[in-house]
Amino acid sequence: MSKRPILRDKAIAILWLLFLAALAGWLVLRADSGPMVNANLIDLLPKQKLDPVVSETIGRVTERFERTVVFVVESDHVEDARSAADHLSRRLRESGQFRALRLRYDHDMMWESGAFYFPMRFQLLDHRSRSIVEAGDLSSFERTILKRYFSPGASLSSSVVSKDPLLLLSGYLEARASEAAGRLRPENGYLTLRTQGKVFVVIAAELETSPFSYGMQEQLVPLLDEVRLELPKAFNGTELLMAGVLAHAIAGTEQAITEISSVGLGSLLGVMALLLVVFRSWLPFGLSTISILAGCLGGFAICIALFGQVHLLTLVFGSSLVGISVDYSLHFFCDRFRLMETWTPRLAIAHIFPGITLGLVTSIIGFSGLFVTPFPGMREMAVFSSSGLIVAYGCVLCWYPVCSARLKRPAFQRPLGWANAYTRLWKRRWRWPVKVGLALLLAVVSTGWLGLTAEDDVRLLQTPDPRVVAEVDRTRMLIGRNLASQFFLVEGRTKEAFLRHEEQLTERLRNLQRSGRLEGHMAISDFLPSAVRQRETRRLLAPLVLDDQGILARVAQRVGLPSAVRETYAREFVANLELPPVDLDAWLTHPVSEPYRNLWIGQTDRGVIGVVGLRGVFDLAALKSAAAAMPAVHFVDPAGEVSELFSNYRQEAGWLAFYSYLLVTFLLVVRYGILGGLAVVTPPILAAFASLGIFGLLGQPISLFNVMALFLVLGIGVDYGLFFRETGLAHASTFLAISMSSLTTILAFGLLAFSQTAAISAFGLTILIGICVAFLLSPLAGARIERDRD
Amino acid sequence: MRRLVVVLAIVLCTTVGAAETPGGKETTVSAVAARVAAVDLLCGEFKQQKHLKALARPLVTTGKYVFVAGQGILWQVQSPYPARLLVTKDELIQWDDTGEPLKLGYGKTPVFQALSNVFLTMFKGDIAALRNTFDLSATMTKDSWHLVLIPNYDILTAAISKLTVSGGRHVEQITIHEPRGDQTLIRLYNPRTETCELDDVEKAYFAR
Repeated sequence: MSKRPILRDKAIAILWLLFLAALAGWLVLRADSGPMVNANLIDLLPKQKLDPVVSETIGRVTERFERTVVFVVESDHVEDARSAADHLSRRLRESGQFRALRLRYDHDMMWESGAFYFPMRFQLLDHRSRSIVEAGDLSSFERTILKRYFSPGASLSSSVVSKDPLLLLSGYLEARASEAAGRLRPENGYLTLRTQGKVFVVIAAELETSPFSYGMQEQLVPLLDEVRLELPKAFNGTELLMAGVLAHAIAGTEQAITEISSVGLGSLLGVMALLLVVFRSWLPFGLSTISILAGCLGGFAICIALFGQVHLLTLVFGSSLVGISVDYSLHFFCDRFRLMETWTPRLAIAHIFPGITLGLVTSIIGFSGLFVTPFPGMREMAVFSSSGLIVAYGCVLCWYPVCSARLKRPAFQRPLGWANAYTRLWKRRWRWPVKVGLALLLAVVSTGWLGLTAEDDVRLLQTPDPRVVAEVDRTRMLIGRNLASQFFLVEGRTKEAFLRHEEQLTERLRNLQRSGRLEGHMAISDFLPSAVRQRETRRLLAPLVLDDQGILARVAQRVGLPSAVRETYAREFVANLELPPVDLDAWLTHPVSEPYRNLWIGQTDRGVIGVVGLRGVFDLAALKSAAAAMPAVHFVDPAGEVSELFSNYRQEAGWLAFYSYLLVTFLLVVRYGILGGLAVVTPPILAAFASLGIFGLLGQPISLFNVMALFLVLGIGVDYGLFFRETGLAHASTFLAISMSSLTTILAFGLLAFSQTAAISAFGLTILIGICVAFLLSPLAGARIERDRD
Repeated sequence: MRRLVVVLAIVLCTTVGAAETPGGKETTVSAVAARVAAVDLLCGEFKQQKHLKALARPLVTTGKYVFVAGQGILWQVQSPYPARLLVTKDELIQWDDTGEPLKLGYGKTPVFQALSNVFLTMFKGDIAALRNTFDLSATMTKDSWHLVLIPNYDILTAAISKLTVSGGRHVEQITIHEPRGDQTLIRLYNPRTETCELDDVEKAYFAR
């Protein structure tokens, strides 16, 4: 060896070091300009291609929904509950994480609604009465009114009776109150519920940022933990309950972090232990660790550069990158077993170069299958893994020749012996264990495929913490708000048109409610009818009020209403006919609309838009079809849409996987000829079939995430074949390298199989099975070469 | 009548609660409380007359009631229009003859809310809490007593100027005087504490 190449090697090593240092430096600088880690699972999914107005509105509605947090303090005594709520409210306000925080409700809603609706008493009719009157069933209507006079629940007074003798307003407000009945009431301004012998005080809050913002959680979680400890001590056992997306988001982040650290650390430790056992030297251990870490750094930096941030799940996934990126190092170090005294690092690089380069290319082909999916999350993972691998590959080429000149041949030869024994099974003619194994595999796989089923539920992405679910459910039950995740968006060119469209929709919804397919709904038009409807109501009522034998006359006679009062009312009724109906702006700006104002979204490019909320959805199809015939109404089912996405992309990704396998087969056939190419690609293909087959055999449904894993099985499985193909079966060191690299991969992805999140666990398990099979079959690729040589 | 029901509930519980409160100052009020029997179960019939100044004659309803300690009161109006009203600690539910429940949340009326507040504190036998809400005065004869409750804070005084309750062993008559001169009078008859088994319908209502 001359001196110059070594000098050149040193120069390359230093340049590579500078490059990585620059990446790290850039990351440090970037850290100041915003959060780099995102934990919102929905951001992993592709955005639906929808009408821009609708999708923008959905964004606003879900954002508001996501950012809403309900805090409830639970205490035995009202004083404790109130002071605890004051304390909590102060602490939350000081955190600066909330855009809005509402503890006190000081104005009197009863009075407000009286003040707003009283002037409208000639043009409001509850829905039941309206349908009776429209049907012309006047005696029923009379009975309805008289029942109100004699009802045990009515608040009657002389002033009500003389200003509204048909009790139309009471009927209307009572129907509204009944539909909107929450269990909370303001007590001294505190929204309070007393039940189960306890007092609950509610604080409604809106977060400043997304509940999935890691930075926000970092600030808020310690504060909440502190408050949970403080409250019972300071306020006699007062407890804190919390509901909202935030609760789930926090639990999700905690879980992801635990998984990143356990999967990442677990596979790192496993790999390191393996290296120490096989090589009995600290050098491979140290160098591999450095190239793994450099790989992670590279993946992270490139992701930040391309996407601006990295999703937490990408990190979970990326933590298994450890298992692949160590492969290149392994091939290098296992090569040390190949030669005795003549071994030099440069020779080793020369020997493994074609194998690891082709390996890198095929892995990247495998990952690019993930990259072309429309899933932002999958793209991130593909970029993270590809760039991580390139960096790890670079480390082997640039650093290893310089650093490992004094690497000794390991004295511990037994692993080499095991590797030899296994490859011998595949040499020349296959021995019986191979034949039996293959037959068994084919039998298992084919029966498994018959039983294969699919599931595309949104819950694949979220496996909520049962403790959090219990707390959130309890809180929701306490506050009596059971909003469905589905809703309608209603548009109109004008506000009046919006109200008209809503009235048409709610008409259908009430039908669904009557037939038990829906529990209830919340719509603005129920609180403020359209101008058309207000005029219609006046027209409907006019004969009933004004005729000599009309309903008013008959009711007056039955309850003893003096004729003077009756005549005054009739005169007011006539005078009111000339007045314009009350419009939406009047309602929106009046305090009476406050609890329902979140149903109003406002101006869009083509008019106005609002939300109709739903409670207790029992028949999705019926709701969908309620919107179908109305172009201004859109039914939104976020969970359903995610499931649909999963299903569509599972099928698309299936085809994509098929094409990737085809492309790789084609490339290999071009390089190695038909039989040689097929020999290399057969192990990963069988592995892919086997991993899905085993899911079928276990009766476990497969999803998009299993299909995604097949890309990796291809990328990694082909590597094993390639190494054999390039080096032949003669060198047991090749198989040793492959065994170690598959062991490390299995370590990494096998740990993913233990994830709490169904999607990740399915992904991990598919890879685990696939890699095992691809590994065991990999000598097949080398066996071909032996025969070619004969 | 909604507020009437609550007042009645308060009174029933007041007497029960007070009867369970041992010792204390021997005021006339607590003597009244002591006079009224503590019951776990009470049922009977009622006749309600609502005198509205705006109407020429009172609105009269009759029916029966069941009180179950710890659960609430069920009012069954039988005439002129059948209806039921269930008053419990947490909610107020009304059914008319179509059977469809109409939930009247406590949150909706401040008077009702304030009254049910008292109802809840009284349920624990906390007579001091009742004094926070009403000024109490009482007169007693050998077999009967008469209690006057005057609300002492704004939300209540806006709706109720005075409550009077009278009776013997049990509450017999309640009158609600409203500030504008309207009046509601409820008479309770045939009180029974042993023989009133809950029938299935009544049990079902309480079970809701």
